[in-house]
Amino acid sequence: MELADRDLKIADDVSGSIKKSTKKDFVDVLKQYSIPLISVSLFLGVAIISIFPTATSIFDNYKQLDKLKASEKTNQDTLDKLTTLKERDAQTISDLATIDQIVPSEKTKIVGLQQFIQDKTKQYNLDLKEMTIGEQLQKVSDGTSTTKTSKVATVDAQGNPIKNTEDSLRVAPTTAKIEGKFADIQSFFSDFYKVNDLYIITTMNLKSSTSISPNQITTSDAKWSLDITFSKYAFSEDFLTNSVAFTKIPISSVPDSTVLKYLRDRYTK
Amino acid sequence: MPKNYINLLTKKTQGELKDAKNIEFSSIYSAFLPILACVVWIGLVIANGAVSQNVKIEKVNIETQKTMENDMSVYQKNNGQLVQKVDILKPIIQKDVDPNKVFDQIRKNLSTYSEILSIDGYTRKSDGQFSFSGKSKTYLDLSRVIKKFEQNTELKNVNLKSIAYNKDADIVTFSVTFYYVTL
Repeated sequence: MELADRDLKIADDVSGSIKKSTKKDFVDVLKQYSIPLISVSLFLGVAIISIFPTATSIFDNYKQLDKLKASEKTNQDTLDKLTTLKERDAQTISDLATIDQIVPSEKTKIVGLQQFIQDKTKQYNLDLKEMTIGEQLQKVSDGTSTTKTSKVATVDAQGNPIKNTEDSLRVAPTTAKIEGKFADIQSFFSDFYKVNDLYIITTMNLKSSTSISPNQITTSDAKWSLDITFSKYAFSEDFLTNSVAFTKIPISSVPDSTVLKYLRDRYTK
Repeated sequence: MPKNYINLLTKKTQGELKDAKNIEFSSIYSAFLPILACVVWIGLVIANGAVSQNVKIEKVNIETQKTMENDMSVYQKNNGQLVQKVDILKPIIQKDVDPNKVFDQIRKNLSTYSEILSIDGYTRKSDGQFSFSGKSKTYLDLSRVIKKFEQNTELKNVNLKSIAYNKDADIVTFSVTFYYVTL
């Protein structure tokens, strides 16, 4: 009986011990895995909350930096070109002054050729039969006023349409009928081309009453009849006030050198 | 447990002990993960700061460039104005010809034919074309004159515009057109 009781007690103790051991193992396992679990959780947390956004931000900043560097390079190219323009700005202003002197604004009072024609015909014994002074400016209809619009943007930076500058020139024609000897007419033209102003002989009809040998034209006393039209040009106010169009001309554009050389040689004194 | 009891529970095997040891090491190693994450994050933050600093520098540079561009825009405007004005004036300047030069050219080209040719008129049209008209004794002389005019580099598009034979006077009347090269 005693033995049986003791065995039973031992069995109870073992059973209790096994239960305790199972509970302890579970706690041990929990203890053992809790650190890695917390660590991994923290790692993932830091990665998701901080690392990924920061990494994304770096890539975004790199992209932005690349764009900014490209923009900086473009700006630098523009600045280099502007610096070149700055260096030759004195010459540009001088050329503009020359042009403005010979082709004024339409608002400027155009001094006609009236006095010049009267004085010179008198000086060279020419007979001034008729003269019409063109003080009224007209639109140029022969296409010479057309601006090369391909160089100009059609809208400005704000998207506003840029005014068309096709009607950039106005013309005032002066007509005259003169009679006299060929040599005297030549002297008249010679003085006319010494005038420091731009007058274009648009039409001319010089006729002799008789046919003359080329070698005797200048010495012949034969009378020649001259019908002539002089044109004085002026820039339209519409064109001159359209400063947006001037800034839209590409910086790399250079004025036609042959025209500039001609203007400097002929009109810069 | 009383001393007299016999422990019937089996001891942990070597394998189990090794596993337990491995788990302990893993726990220790895993503790470094958050530290590693923090180190990586700090590294990225520093790198990002450096890139951001560069972005700021570039922005300042661009701003400075824009200011300089604005300051220098007057030169662009002046150049644009000159380019446009010169472009507009070019076709007009091309017509700026002293008639005396044209008279001289014609006389020079006809001087060797002064005995057989005569001139009675000069004209200029609004498109800039010049012409002269006159009389010649023969067609052959006239063809030589035209050839000489064509060889002159200062004249272009030389054309015999009209030609007619007057049987009564035995004279050929003609008209020659050309353009005088300016620019």
